[in-house]
Amino acid sequence: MNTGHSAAAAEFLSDANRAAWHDQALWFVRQRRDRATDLPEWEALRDRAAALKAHAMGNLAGLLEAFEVRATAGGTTVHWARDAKEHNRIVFDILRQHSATRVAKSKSMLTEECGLNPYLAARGIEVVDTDLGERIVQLAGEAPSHIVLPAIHWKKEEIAALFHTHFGTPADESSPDALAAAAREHLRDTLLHADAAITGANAIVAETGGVVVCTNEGNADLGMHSAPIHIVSVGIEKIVATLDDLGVLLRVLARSATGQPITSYTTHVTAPRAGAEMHVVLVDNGRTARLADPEFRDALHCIRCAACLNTCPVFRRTGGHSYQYTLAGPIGAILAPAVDLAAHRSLPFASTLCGSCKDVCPVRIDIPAQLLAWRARVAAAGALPNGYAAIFSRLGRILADRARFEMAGRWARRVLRFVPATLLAGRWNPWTHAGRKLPVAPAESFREWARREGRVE
Amino acid sequence: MIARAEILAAIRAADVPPMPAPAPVVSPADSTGLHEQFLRTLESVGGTGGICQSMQVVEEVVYTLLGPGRHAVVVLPGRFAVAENGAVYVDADDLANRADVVLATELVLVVPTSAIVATMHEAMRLIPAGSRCGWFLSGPSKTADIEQALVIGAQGAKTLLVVFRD
Amino acid sequence: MRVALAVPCYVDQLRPAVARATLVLLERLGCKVSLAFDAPCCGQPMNNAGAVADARAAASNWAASAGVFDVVVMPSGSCTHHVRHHLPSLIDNASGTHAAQVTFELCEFIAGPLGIAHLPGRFPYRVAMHLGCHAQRGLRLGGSSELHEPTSGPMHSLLSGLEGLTLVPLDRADECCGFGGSFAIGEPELSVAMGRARLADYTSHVAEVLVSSDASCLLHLEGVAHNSLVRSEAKDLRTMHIAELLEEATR
Repeated sequence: MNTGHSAAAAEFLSDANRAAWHDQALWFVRQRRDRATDLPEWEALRDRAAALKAHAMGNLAGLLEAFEVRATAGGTTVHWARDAKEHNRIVFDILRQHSATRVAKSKSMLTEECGLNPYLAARGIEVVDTDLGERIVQLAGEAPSHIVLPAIHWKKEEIAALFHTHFGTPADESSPDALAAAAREHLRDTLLHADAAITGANAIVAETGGVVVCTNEGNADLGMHSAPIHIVSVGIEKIVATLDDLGVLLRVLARSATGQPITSYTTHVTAPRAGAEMHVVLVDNGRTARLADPEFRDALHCIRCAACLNTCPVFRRTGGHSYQYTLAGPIGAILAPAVDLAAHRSLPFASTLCGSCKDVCPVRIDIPAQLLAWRARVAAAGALPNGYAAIFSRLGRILADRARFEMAGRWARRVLRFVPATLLAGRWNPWTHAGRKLPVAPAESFREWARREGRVE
Repeated sequence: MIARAEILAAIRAADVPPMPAPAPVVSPADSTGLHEQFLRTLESVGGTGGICQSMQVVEEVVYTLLGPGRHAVVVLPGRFAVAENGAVYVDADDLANRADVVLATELVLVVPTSAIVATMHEAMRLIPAGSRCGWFLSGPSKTADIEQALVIGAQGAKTLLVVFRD
Repeated sequence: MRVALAVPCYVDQLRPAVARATLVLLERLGCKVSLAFDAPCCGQPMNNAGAVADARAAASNWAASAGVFDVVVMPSGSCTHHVRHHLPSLIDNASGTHAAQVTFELCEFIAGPLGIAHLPGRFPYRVAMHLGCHAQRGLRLGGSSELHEPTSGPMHSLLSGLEGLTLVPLDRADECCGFGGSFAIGEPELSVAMGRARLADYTSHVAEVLVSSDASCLLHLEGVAHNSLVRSEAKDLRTMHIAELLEEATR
């Protein structure tokens, strides 16, 4: 089975120890989430969070306009970008106008989605990702593998080797304290003296015109309050109507993401400081298209907590890069096909529909329902992988009719019982491909037994 | 301008059914034990805290809790504290520079003793109207980006102390 | 009570003992069991693979068979979940809604319509319980760790009531076993890795018996336990469907 996710998954799993280590690391985060969300009012909070997001999407145009009015009144410049290219151009124009050549960036999956870093680099602007995890993958020339923990797939010895190459720190110094201290020093100058700071936003608030940024490191604050220009890149779906709604969001976000009651820094900024500039770029890039599709619209409620990634046995055991899309895990699997159905057709199938993601999602996105709906869209587009179209068409006819079913079943059991396993089992047979043994087939089906016993015609 | 019009038009054309906003949360009647809960939570997120009576005593408490030989201590005013998550709300109007919240290595936040609420629901209503910039600060800066190992003191403060005083 | 036994397609062909045990158990509990349920398949395999159009004939046939019965019992959480939540949308008429309303998973039926929380019986073994994901989070037949619920539900209750039975604690009681229908063949390495993880959980807690609500999970886990590529500690683990265990315990 060599389509998309499954091929990448096989590769990740070929290093069994590493795969087990990755799985355990993410499971710890899931357990921390469990402890932090063990509040009597937790399910009621999820109801509220789901409701406030549905309310926001149902009033999106009005809320964005209200946000724009208030943000502008505070001195912020609001820009609108229809797609990734437009977003990148807008950001570049702002930087160029200010002759900015070095930018401190802080956690924004949206800028990943838009490919901002390479776009700016090609135009002579250096972008330094200042979150420790983001900086690690940036130095390594990789994409982040997780929304909240970008370098979760890196072992500390590997980070030590990476820092040795780039900072000259001792190659054998792999204690997290020392590595974090080295990164702090390395990033400090950029954070204090960059020409511009770019951040994402965990939310924007229509009522106040405010931008909300949550970090544990404090890097976003150091950059945005030091640099003369602060640019915020944010998807239009990140808006909430009121501060009350923000309060609900802030109660569920960190608890779901990292198992903390709140991040160390939660910044709510509605206006630039005196003498500085603030820009907010509101980005569509396919979001309005998603909004127009009732089957998948609720995926826009996502607050990017990554709880679904941490709980998903598929994500834990195959890693973020196996999804080959900006966002990985269950949420990635329901967003990616909307971007490119053919390229990402394997993602809705990279799931057993176990439902764990749905139960941890703080905004109650019914991810399994959307995965199943995407499978139907893939089928309708004639893009089913692995020869499924022919297989399930045939199976559909056999399983619809008792006579056909019984005959096919009799033959299948005969094959299983009498054809030598050496011929049946092997890497070519998807059931036994990874060594799983074929089932032992009985001589009689249940129905045949029942007939013999006179229990049925 | 065109982009703005197009995006808004596309949103409206999507015809998403309007949904009511969730009703405001009713504040819990019980607000006892908030300071205890706050201090416990603050400790669990790597901070320390205490309650005292006057500014002079604050200074003593600060140096007692932080220990001798501490330098570069920055003391900032907090507007109120939130018991459920050990956070203190700081408003930029009370600061000389916004960057002060992250520049200090040792940060002390002084909060009026009575200014404490149970959850973020109440906290949101205390954010000053028209605030240009404010923060919820909970514990010192930290990261777990290296193999999930918690490191205290990333780009912000390495220690955070909250002192309640009347 | 008069009930129809609807046998899942793969149980009929590959695991008939599960259907026999279900039949014996239900009769032992005083039900009049009809085996006249003719349709072989509820349509789930096709529907779950996205081949919705290919699922319709099987689903319609299934709903038609269910039409003459007031109660249909299936020894499968996954099939019951499909019938209750997906089958009606595959069918144009009210037969789908009727089928969804009258179909029960086995333990759900015993605890619910039959009103029996505990069965008198003996099963003096260390047992690892595997409630299939569709039974667990689809039908809500067990407490989920994500929702901070303790292990609970009809299957748990029926097992706990048996004399001598020890339910072993597990590290990840409700993690998916990795079968997932077409997933098992579409992502074989991952499917096997997930199965191995479950088996390791059972053996590390010294389970003697693995009991599952779904024979599909069992076929997969058994295949993984006897993996030709990697030796598994679980080779000696006895695997049973809940119908088989309850039937044996109440003889």
